[in-house]
Amino acid sequence: MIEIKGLSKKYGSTQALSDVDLQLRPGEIVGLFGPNGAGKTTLIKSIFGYIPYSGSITLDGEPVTRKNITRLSFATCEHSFFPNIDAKAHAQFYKDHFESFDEKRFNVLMEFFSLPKDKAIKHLSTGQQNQFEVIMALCQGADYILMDEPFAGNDIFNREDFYKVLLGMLGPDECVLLSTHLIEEVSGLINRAVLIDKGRIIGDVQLSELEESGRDLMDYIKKSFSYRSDRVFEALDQLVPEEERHEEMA
Amino acid sequence: MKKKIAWNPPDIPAYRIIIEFIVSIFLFVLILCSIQANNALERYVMMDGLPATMMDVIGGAFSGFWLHAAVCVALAIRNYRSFYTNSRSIYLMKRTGSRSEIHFMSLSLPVIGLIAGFILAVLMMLGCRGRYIEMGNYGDMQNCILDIWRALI
Repeated sequence: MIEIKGLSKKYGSTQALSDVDLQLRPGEIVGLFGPNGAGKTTLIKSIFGYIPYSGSITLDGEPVTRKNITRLSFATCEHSFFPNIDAKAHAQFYKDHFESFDEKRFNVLMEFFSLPKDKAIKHLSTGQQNQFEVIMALCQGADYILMDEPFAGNDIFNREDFYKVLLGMLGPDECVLLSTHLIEEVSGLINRAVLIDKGRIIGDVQLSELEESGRDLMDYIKKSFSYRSDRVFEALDQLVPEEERHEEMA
Repeated sequence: MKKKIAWNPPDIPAYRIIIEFIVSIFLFVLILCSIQANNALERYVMMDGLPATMMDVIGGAFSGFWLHAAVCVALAIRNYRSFYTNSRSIYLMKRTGSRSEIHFMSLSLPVIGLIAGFILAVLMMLGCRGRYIEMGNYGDMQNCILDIWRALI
C-alpha cells in the first residue's frame, strides 16, 4: 500500500499541497480529479520523490527509495521515453532494468495499437507517443501504475480502446492512479475517485458508495467543487442582454 | 539480473560520441599541437632570431589538449541534458534501481576521451622534447622534467 501522510509542498510562496493524507491500495483503480493547478502532478511527482516535499510517503511501510521504486511506474503527458530510440530498444532497456517487465503484454499492446517497433519514438504522432508512454508504464511490471494526464492529445476512439484494454488486462493486485480531466470517460473504469483542489484533498469516495446512494460521479464532483452552473448565465448577462440572447438563440 | 553495461545515454548512440572524440582529438591534440610545437621548433632554428625555449616547444605541444578537454566537458553536459531534452527520460532513469547509472552513461565516454587525449598530448610533448634535445644541446634532464610539468600545469 502507498501511504501518504501530511504531505505538503511549496513552490516559492505558492502552497501546492497542504497536509495531504491518502492511501492507495492494491487492486484499486483511482481517478484523481481536480482543476488545473490543483496539485495533481505535484502529488504524483512527490510519490516518486522527483521533487522535494515535507511529510511522509511509504510503500508497504518503507520510504520510496531506489530499492523499491521499481514497484512504481509512471506515464506522464511530459513523456518519459527516450525519443531517439525505437520501441524494441525500449523493451530491451526495460528488460535490463525491471525484473518483472511483461514482454508479452508489451507485444500485445504494441500490436493492438498498431505501433511500429522499429521507428524512433520521436517520429510517431503525439497520440501514438502517448499510447507508447502508457504501454511502457503498463508493461514495466509495477504494482502501482501512476498516470498523469496520459491521454492528452489522443482522440476519443483511442482513449476508449485504452480503457477497455486496461480493464481487461490489469491483474487483481495492480493499482492504477489516473489523474485526468476526462471525468465522464473514466467513470466506468475507476472504482474510487479522489478530488483535489488548491492542494487539499476535498473528496474521496468509492464509486460503489455513490451507486448505492443513487448519485453519479459527476454530481458528486460538482457538489464537492461547489460548481455553480448559473455562473455561465451570469457572465452572459453581463455581456449580452437576456432579450438579445433569446432572440439569437431562437 | 544480469544487466548490460550502457556506456552512453540511450538517446545518443555510442558511435556518435566516439566519432566526436576522435574528431576532437585529431583537431585539437594532433593537428593544433603539431602546429604549435612546429612553430616553436622553427623559432629554435633562429627563423626570427630568437631560440625557442624547451617550454615553448613542449607547452605548444600540450596547448591543444585544453581545447579537447573543453570539448569533453561540453559533451558530458550534452549527455546529461539528453535526459531532459524532447522528453523527460530522467523520470525513467530515476525509476531504475541504480543511482549511479545515469552518471556512468553521461561521464564514461567523455572521461575515456579525456584520458585518451591526455595520453596523446603527453606522447606529443615527449616527442617534441626529444626533437628539441636532438636539435640542440639541451642536456639538463632535471630542467627538462621541470619544463614538462610546467607545461602540464
